[in-house]
Amino acid sequence: MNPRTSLHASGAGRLVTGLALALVLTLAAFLFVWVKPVTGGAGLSVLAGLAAVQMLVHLRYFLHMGWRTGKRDINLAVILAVVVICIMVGGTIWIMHNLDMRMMTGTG
Amino acid sequence: MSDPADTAQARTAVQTAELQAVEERQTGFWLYLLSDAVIFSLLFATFGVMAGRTAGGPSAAGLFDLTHVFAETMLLLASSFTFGLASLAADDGRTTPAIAWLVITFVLGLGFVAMELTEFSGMIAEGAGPQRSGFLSAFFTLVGTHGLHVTAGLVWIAVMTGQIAWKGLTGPVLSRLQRLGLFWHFLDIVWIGVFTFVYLAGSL
Repeated sequence: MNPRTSLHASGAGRLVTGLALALVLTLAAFLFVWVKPVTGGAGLSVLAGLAAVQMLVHLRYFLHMGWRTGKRDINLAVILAVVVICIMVGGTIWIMHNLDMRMMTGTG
Repeated sequence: MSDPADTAQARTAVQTAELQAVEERQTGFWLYLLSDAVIFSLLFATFGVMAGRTAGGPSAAGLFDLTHVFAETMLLLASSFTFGLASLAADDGRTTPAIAWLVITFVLGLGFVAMELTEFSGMIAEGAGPQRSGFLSAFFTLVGTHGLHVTAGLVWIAVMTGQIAWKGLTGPVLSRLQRLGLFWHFLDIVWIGVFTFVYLAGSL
């Protein structure tokens, strides 16, 4: 009768899984900075990777509740937002880094 | 004319219309969240550009207390989890557990905002306020905008707790609670970006 009941059949289990994964990923990120096995660009890449995985975990295990997979209009909007974000963030960092190189200033 | 088949059909039509209205509101709220995601992304990009512009003032290394940030992260993550438990209780029609988990979520969120305000006031007292450098302006704008969102979320949680207490777990209340859930979990996702790219990357 209630479509939500089946959707949340294993709701608590899913939440606990999400919490466990999020805790492991958060601890990994903080431990990484504490130990500092690699620094600089490589270290930043590791941190960015951990953050991306944790964001996907949150989307899957926490936001899944309101997210009916296969809702076409929402999925399209998400894709559009991701494209807009990539263009604006990538463009900003690319252009500003390029300007910085041309100005040849190490500090502001 | 009261043919039972007609009445049942009319009831089904009303339920379908209600479900559709809930779905439409949910879609609209997703559009808001995505536009908010664009705003935060640009604040992140701005911070990325300004991170090295310290104007001779304090830089990220040594300025942030990572233990403090870790505690903030745990508070927000725990509040995301307890909100999930509140949603589950509400969907099962268990009013008292739903209210209890929402109150716990509120307290955890309030703890987060309190810790953030402590950090901000400490930094300003040290002379590391938003006017000190481009880096600090970008820091306070990005982290402060997230903090304002969390504060708005706290007000919303308080309102929804009241609605559940007074109106019960009716259709409209459940529908609003679902959208509040989207908002609250979204803010925790933004915080992943903040602790990674602002605090951890700055201390690397």
